[in-house]
Amino acid sequence: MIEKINGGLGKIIMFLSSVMFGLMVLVAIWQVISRYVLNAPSTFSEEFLRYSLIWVTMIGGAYAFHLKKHIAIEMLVNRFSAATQKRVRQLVQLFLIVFALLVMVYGGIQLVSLTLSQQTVSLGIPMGFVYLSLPISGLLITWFCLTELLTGKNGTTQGSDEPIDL
Amino acid sequence: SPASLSTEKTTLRLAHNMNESHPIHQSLLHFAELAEEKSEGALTFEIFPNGQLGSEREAIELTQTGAVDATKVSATALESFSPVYALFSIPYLFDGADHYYTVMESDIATDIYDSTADNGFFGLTYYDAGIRNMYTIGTPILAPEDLRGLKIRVQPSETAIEMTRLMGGAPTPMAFGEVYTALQQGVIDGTENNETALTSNNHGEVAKEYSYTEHAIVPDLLIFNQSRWESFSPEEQRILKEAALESSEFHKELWAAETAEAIARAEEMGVTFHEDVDKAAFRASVDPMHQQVKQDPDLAPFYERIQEMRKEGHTND
Amino acid sequence: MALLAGISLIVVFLGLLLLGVPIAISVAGASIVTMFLIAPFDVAIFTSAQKMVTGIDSFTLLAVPFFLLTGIIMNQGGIALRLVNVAKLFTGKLPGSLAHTNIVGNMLFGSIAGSSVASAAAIGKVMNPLQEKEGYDRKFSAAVNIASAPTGLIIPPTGLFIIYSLVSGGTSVAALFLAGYLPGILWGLATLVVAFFIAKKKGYTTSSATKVESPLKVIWEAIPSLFLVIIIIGGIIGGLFTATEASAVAIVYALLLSFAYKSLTLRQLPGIFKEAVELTVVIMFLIGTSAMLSLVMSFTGIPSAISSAILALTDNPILILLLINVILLLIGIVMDVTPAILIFTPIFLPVVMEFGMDPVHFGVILIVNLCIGNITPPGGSALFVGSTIGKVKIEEVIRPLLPFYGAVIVVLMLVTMFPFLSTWLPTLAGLME
Ligand code: NA
Ligand code: NA
Repeated sequence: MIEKINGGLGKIIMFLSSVMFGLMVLVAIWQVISRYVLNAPSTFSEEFLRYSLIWVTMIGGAYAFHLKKHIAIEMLVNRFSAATQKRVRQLVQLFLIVFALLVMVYGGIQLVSLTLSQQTVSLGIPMGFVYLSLPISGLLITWFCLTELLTGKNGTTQGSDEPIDL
Repeated sequence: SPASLSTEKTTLRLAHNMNESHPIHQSLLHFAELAEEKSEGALTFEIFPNGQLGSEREAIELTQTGAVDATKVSATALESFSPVYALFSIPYLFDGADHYYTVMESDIATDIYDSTADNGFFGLTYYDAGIRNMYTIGTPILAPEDLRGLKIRVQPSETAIEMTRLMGGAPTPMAFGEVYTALQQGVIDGTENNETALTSNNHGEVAKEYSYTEHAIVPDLLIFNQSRWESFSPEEQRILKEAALESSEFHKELWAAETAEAIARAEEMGVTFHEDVDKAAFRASVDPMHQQVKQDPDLAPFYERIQEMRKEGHTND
Repeated sequence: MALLAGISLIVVFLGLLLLGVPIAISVAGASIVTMFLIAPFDVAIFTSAQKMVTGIDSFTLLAVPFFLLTGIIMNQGGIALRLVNVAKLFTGKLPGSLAHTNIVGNMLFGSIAGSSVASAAAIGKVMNPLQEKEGYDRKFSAAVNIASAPTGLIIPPTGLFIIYSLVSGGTSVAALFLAGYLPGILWGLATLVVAFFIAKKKGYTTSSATKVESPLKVIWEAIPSLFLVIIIIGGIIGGLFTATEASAVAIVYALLLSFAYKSLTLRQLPGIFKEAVELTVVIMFLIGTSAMLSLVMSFTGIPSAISSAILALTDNPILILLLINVILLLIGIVMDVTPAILIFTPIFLPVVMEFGMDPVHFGVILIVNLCIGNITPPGGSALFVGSTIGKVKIEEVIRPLLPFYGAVIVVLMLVTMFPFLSTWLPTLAGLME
């Protein structure tokens, strides 16, 4: 059941993020065209691109915790006995939950409520809409880590054996 | 104790985004010294220059929530927090420097400062940040015709774009850091800023014609966290206010000297300064923006009051 | 305060990292614990939350995901193949010519893509089978491909310089890009020299596979691919585009080219975007949490404390640079390039600027240095991809890599000692004084 939910959630997140990413490429192209071809420089594009990147990062970044894509160093942990490894990984999940709830959800909600009345310069949307990505990401991270703790699938390693860098 | 000053030492955090050699840093240091002196050491400031704590927008948010007690920001950055500050972007809002000083030292300014009280901060004082003029590579800009077809870099905001279009140029929004290269490569024909940009950003090496269009005067502001302010005794508030006002006066002189020095150095670079600009024609060209402001319920009352002062200013001549 | 904060940062960071907490959250955790020491609880939480978001709020930074996507598109084959053909023109007469073709291929690919991983994959895919057919030692082939892959991270365009520009407080991307050319080419030449001697020793000869029937045809076919250099670098240096705009134009151009070469179909597009998103979010998330660290450091004055500590030790700039280089080399071995740039630029840049070093020159030293870590175990991403593509185990490829390590350390020393290698081109273009 939980796996089904997470699978569906992941599909939705990846679909939205990929579409957003494609849209960002188009808008960046539009910025060039509007300046050189139309001679009427776009004013919304720069802000749109910056805030889209924030949303894609926050939402996709949360899912990357589920996919174990974030870079981690597990050299030391891998030397422990299987039972210790499991306990350490549970501890890590717990720590991630505490961080997500404290900084991203609690801090994020404070940030959103403070900035709902602040208008962004060119799009004129409340700045709080941009910061909203943070508590939502925090909730997603909490959910993914919690389900992992509950389903006990702590045996998989983080993505340290995969190339993530440029 | 009957003394209204607390005996405990309070250290306040003050942020700004200029480097330590900029006059505003000196003036903020002066403010901190004055506050410390007047409070007999009870109020001290730790100053974070260079945008160490973040961009202007971030620093304002930190001031809102009290992570930082005070911040020096441009009035432009405050537009997002209170629409009233958009007034300063309206070209030819002021009829020159005298009108500007009259307004900034009147109760209109304090009413504008207090417009953000619900947002958790207010303005304590203002600092001179120069008068904005057009400068170009080829022809000087003496009348709207001279701007026709010229690509002028502006700050990435609707107001700046509309202003340039109305004045006759082709607006090119661009980040400030890219302007020098853009001038050099001829991507733009000119831009607009105060005289210090010619020297501190070397724009004078490329753009040789500086024309006094005097289209905008945008002050810097010292903003202060509201609840922190309310936690101070009336005596402490008086001290801070006094120190702030004195530092503004101090900054006026510092800024004037800085501008004079910039002009002298720019002239050595070969920049020509043009005073004979048809400002009335430029003022007339942006009149649609003034008409718009008059329709805006947020801005109109302040706008009318500022225009009143213009008349008063004129009778004083 | 700086001492206490510094100790807290190091202890918490290492503790979390060794427990297997992702680097991004180890950085964030260390930062927030340290914030608790110096600021009230709510202030610490609020500013940390804010920094996590505003750390990625940069228009220039957008070029990083866009260049990543370009690299993934170009990895699909058509472009790499044509660049390899051009490389053959330069290298066909050398002993072990296939190895040299691989190196020059990586340099050419790197000059249009910003990734060592994409380069190692794309060029390795073309070259490794050819080398195996000609009887080259598989481990040697993989080592050559791995050793030359980081040229793509130094020769522009490269996302690393964009990230460095951001954390160094806005160093000109155009100047950094130009600064990377000579050091990147030097790195490529150094690996060429090593490959030459080893090939000679092993008795590898020139190969029929590097014979080019019609040089003009090869060049003609590669022109559309190489035209990307003009679009990206020419566009940025010429002031036509910002780096971000150039990277977006590069995506569209690379897509059209791949469709034209029939190495890509529309049905592959969703997968390509998904891959780009997965890479992007990991790097951007890390950039966001690293902004928390930068804030804590400026709050507590750690860089100036380190700087006075080092200056108390010695005020000989050469010694200081040597010391910093050794530290960075060690860091690069355990940590991959991007996180290391994010974490260590705010620490070391103020120190070297104290004795008058230019941020452009330091950026090049930093990135050349950390690129060595990109090809060393355990965490080198080019090492990982290069050995996977070359069908060898990482352990097997270390020995043949050893002479290459020596060569690139020599390059690092040259880049460190001779600033003009970095500053000459940007000065020529009028981007530096
Ligand atoms: Na490159
Ligand atoms: Na490594």
